[in-house]
Amino acid sequence: MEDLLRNDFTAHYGLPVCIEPNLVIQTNETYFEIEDTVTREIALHRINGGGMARFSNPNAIEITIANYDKFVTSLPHHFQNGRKRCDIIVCDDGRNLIFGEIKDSPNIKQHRKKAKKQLYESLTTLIAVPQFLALTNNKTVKRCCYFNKQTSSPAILTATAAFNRLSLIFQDGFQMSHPAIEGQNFEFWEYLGGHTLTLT
Amino acid sequence: MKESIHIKNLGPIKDIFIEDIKPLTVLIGESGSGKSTLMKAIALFRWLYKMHNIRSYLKRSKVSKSPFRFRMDTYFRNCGFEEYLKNNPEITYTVEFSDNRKYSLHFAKNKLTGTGDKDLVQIQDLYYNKLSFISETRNIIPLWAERGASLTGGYLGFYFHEVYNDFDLASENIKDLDINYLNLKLSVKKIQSNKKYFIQSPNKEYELTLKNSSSGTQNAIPVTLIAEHFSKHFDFERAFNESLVKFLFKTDNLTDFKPVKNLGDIKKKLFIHIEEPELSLFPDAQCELISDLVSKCFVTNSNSIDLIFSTHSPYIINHLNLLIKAYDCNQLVDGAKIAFEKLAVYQVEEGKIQDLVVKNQRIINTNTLSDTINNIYDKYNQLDKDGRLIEK
Repeated sequence: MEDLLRNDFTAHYGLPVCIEPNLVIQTNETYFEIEDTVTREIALHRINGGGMARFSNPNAIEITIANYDKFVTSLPHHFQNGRKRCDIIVCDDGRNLIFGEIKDSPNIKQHRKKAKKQLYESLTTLIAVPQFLALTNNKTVKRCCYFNKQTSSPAILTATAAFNRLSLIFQDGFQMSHPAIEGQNFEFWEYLGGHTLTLT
Repeated sequence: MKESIHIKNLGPIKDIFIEDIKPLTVLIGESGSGKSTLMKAIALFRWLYKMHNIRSYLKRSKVSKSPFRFRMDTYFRNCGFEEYLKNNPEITYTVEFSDNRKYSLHFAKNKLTGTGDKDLVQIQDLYYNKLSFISETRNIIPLWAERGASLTGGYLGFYFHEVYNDFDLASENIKDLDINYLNLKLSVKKIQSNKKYFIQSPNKEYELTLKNSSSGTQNAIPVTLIAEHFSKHFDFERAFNESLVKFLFKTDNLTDFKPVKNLGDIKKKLFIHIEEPELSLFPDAQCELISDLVSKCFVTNSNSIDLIFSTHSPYIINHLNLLIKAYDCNQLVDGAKIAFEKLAVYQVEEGKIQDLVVKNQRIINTNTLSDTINNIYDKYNQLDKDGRLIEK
């Protein structure tokens, strides 16, 4: 993925090769959470609740996490100007290819709407790159995911917890309809609170 | 019979396509989002298709003269759509049968197509449909029923009189009805020549006229009475024969009429559309009302019914998840259950719809409906922490 972004992507769009450091991190932890830091870096956490997007990796697969937001931000202004981008791309040598927009924020409603646009535009930008399109053909789990770590209400009030109980019943996230993303042979998924994406 | 509808540029609706209108379809969204517009457009095109079926039946029964003309300007005015015409709305409603037999009604450039002689419905696809639209103006029914005689000639809008006619017809057949979710009973009594509507407590401790009952009761009673009527008491044969005789007399074609198919052999369907069934009800009663409606339309019904309603209530959408689970467990909750495959829930916003059905589970995603409560306490927490509101 790193080579694809630094070389193939930039060559396709006629841009200089990207030399931004620390674009990609790797892990084979069986459980990890990803944090999108205020400095646009990606940080991994092993402790429950440390990050914003939760991943289960029961087979300890070697996972690559690309900081797509940081990558696009490093490109020339004329290219990135107005171009929506999601935060991360998660992939492995097997069947997983995941676009992720991650939030730890109120205004869930506004962010969901924005995240869908960021995910879709990232997807179409990358699918235009022939090497990326070839990569997608080998993948069977192709998802655009909106993650939002939910905050809590005052302890003595149960309304928030009550309204969010559906997320506690189902841990796997929800696959929702998004015709434009589905038109690119990807799925749209939403992960809120304790929802965890399982990589197999 | 599979229905689809595609609407473009109709008032608040920019572009909405529903590929398969499910037997139970629920629309949720903010005020002015276009829920009612969508529901009225579906109801209008279902009615046009019904009339196209009647025309097809008559034409195929050797009645050459058309008994009626479609007047879209009148229908749009009745729906409150006349101001939307300047944006050139387009609506395509399609009914599809097996073997890819399709019938499409298309409205564009102020003209309806798909209802001509070349478009007649084939004999095996003929349906006789009945529609009911229970508008939010139903809260005037108790007062109108009480004072109707003194208001003869008054006009309160197309949808009010539609729902009032259904209410009046329903109360001809049903004189006593238990309203279990309110722990009340409706009693219809004939006093002199007028029908009077009373609300009674279960053990008749008290009785009061419907117009003096609570606002929730006044809104809910018409919904329940009409649903009960169509569920078990509606006489298709009588309604069909009345329509038929009226048209045949109108065109003086009674002697030409050679029925191509008996009514008993024609498929029949009822479509009920309800604006905000939960109006003025406490959340518990909202859920029980929905159970009652689902029971009447999909569990205890003698007639085949499709139901669409709009709502502002996250409680109702969450309650639907319970009714799906009840179906999956082969149980009844308040007498109700609904198959996941028969249900669709759409959030209407910014002129489009978002399908809330979760594809990898048998549930409706109600998380989006929890945003408000989350936002309240996110702001609460921020104020608590910083002493001022900071939007992230």
